[in-house]
Amino acid sequence: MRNIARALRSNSLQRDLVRLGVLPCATAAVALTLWFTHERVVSLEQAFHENGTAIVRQLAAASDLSVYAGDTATLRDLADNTVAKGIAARVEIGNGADMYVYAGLAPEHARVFEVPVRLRTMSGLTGPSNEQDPPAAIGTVRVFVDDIVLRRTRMMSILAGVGIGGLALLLAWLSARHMARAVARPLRQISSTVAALREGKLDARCNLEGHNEIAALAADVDKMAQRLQDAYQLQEDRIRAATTEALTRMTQAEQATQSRTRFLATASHDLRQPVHAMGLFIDGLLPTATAAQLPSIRRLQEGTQVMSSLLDALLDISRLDANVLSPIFAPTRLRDLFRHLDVLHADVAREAGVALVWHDAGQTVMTDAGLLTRVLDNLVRNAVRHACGRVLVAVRRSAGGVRIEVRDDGAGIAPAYQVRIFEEFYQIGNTQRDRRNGFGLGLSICARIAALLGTEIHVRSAQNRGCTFSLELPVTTIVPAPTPLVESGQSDASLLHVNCLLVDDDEAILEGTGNLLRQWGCRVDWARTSHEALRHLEDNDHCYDLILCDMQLGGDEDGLFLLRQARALQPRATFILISGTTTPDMLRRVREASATLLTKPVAPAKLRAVAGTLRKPARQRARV
Amino acid sequence: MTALTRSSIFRTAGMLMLWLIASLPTTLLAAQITLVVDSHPSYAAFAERLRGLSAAPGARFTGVDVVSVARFVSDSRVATTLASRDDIDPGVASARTRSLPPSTRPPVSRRSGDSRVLVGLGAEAARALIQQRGAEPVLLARLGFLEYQTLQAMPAWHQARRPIGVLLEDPAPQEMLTLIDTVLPGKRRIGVAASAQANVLIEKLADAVRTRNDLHPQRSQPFWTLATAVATQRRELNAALQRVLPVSDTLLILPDPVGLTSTAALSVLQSAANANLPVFASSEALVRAGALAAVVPSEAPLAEQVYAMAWRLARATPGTSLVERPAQWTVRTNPYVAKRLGLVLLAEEELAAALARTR
Repeated sequence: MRNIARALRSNSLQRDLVRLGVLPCATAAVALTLWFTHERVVSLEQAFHENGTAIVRQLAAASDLSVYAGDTATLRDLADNTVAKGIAARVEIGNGADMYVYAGLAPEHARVFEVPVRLRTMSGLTGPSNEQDPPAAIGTVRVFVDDIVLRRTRMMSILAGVGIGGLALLLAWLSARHMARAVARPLRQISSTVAALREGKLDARCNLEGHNEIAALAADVDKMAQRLQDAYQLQEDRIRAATTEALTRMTQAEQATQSRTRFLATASHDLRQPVHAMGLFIDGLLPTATAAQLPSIRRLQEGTQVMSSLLDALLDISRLDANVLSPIFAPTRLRDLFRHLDVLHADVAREAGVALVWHDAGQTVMTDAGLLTRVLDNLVRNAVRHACGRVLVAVRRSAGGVRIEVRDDGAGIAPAYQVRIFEEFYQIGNTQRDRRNGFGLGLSICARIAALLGTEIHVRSAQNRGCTFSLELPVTTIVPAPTPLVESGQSDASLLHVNCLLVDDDEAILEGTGNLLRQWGCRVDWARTSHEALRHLEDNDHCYDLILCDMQLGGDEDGLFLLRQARALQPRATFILISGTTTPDMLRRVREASATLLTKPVAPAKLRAVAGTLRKPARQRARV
Repeated sequence: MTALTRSSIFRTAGMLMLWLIASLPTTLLAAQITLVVDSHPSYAAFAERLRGLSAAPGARFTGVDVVSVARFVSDSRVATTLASRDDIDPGVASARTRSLPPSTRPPVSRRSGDSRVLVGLGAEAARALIQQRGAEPVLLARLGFLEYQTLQAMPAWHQARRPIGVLLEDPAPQEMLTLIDTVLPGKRRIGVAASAQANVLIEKLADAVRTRNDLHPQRSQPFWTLATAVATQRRELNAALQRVLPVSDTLLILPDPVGLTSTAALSVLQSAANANLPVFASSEALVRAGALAAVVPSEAPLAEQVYAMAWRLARATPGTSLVERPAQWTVRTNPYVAKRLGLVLLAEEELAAALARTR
């Protein structure tokens, strides 16, 4: 029943109205057709039966005396006449004993009517007829009546009934369809108007004429649409004005951001150049410095490192603002990552008297290993700096994967400051702004990198109970590829014996870098312009292992141009770009060229590490 | 001169007489029968039988022409009209008719000078023959008694001066009573429902009953009784039967309008069948229709009797009148009816023989 109701239900009002109109008519038409056809068939059947009965009775009445007398001639005439006139197909008259008269042939479809033959009583001769005790039968009359006419008439009656019923149904359907259209069309118009209004076409109107309820509804809808359109127009005007204002402010803010970014990039480049050169020269002085000069040179080296750190931080912020840092997620084994960090911080922790404990739990996470190293490096550095005696870096299971915690047993952070520590240049307990304690950019940068990695850094701390920084990462079971991490910063004291080509338009950098490389046992050629560099590269007598090239060269060409030439002329050489500019456009071009980039100031140890890798059979490219 | 003339006259008269005497047998040998029959099918067989007699070796008539009543009446009218227009005798009229178109030409081929005997079968033919003018002998065969009386009452019967013969078909009442007594011994209560025209027949039947009771009183057998009821109209027949049936052992259908009309006769038969009473009749058709038995003339002897009467009439003088009944009778029975009534009948030949013995 529910299925029938569901089948009858539709989403079309017109269809429902048609069904509403047709269904009763169809029911009535079918019922009446069935009834009248049935009645007709029954009456035909009854008439046929009555006709057959009348024929056989008439024959019985006409033949009673002949049967009594055995008058076969008369009976045969009677039978023949009956058959000849088409009254019956076959007539059989007999007395059940020694007399049998028949005429005609029994057709295939014939009905047999049979009555006994009794002598008729003449009225008034033998008193009232006694129907309960009729005269004895003296014979039998059997009549075969062909019912082909009956069957044909019955079939015609059925066909006529079906035809009339179908015609009535068709008329009912047409009428109901017409009426349903007349009702559904304005409703559909109203519905489409409402739908158009819902889609935002507020100028849609029903525009129906008439004086019935539907026309009134349409008029109300039109009025409502008009009011809606007016209100929308008013609101749109206000929004447009507000949007214009907001766009103006956004443009201004964006311009300000871009200006700041450009300023930072330019400033960092301009600062990197001398710092880079300074670092190279200071590092070059160390082997030859006297004992009296050594403390001062150390101070100079320390100051250079501070300035380098500040520039790195500014460079990071510049990259983050430029949205050029795109994490590359890959399976990363935490054990390798922790070992690398331990190498970086073990000496500092030992000097500070802090026990640095690593517990990786054998987990592998899906993340960008370089960016995660930057975050953990910063967190561990802070923890070592503030710890009283112990720093624990541990991996815990969490609902979404693993949680890496960096816990120290220092003084902790008061809850009031826990929110602000991720702000740029915000530092707790460094009111003197001792730059050896950092610049207050590290956690800010870490938080932004964590956001790039799809996680966030949580801090849990209490006064004098230490501090715990944590971040959650998804765990993976994929076996990671060998991690191309930077080798240990410890310098190798052995000589490199590498043929180097230095390309830089800064005379000081050329001199400082050249001195360092010679101290490391390298043979060094230098060029100030791209043309000079090309001459060295085209010289078949020189086969370079390492090409260090500044990104910004004098003239039209830059380091990438020389990179392409060097790959063609010296395909075995390792080409490293060095740049103090980290504009997004430049970084994108470097990435597209698959070049190795070192940002100024380049620490001499790092440079040595890069040059040291050339001695290995399989050269590895450092990450940009 | 006178003697010569007188002797010549005598000689001439003598020769004429001799010629007449010599020519008389020749004329008689050339006589033929014109058989006028009505539409009854049984008459056709009778005509054939008569033709057979005529075609037999030594036959007296030269042939038998069969003419239907309608044709005979039509031909007679044409002949009468021509005779009255030309005022000539019928012989000339016959000659004149040869110039008529075939449709109006008399079909009877008769040589000029041949005599003929007009034989009518049935009442319709008899009426037509009586009304036809002429001097030819007329034999009315197979005629009922009542019809015979009706014809006698007609003026044409008396105006005709030609030989007339009548062969009645109805059996005599005594023969009917004999048949009843033979078939159903002891069943002597006879019921008759007849029309008003049958009074003569009823009187004759009553005389026969009375005679039987007077001449053959038997102690062991009851007296013959006759219950009659007259129906002046067709609708009174049932009432008449209602009066007769309860007091009758058997019904007798007389050759009157009741017996000769099929619906009335069937009503009598129906009533008798309902009352389980046997019916005796004088018609073979009634026996087939439900009567138990009937006395009917034997066909072959009847044809011979007609043939003989025609020959006699051909030689008879004008005004001669012959009335005869069939010489031999045949009994017809209906075994189905007998079976229904629970009767065992003798064979028809035995019954006919018994009937013949009592005549």
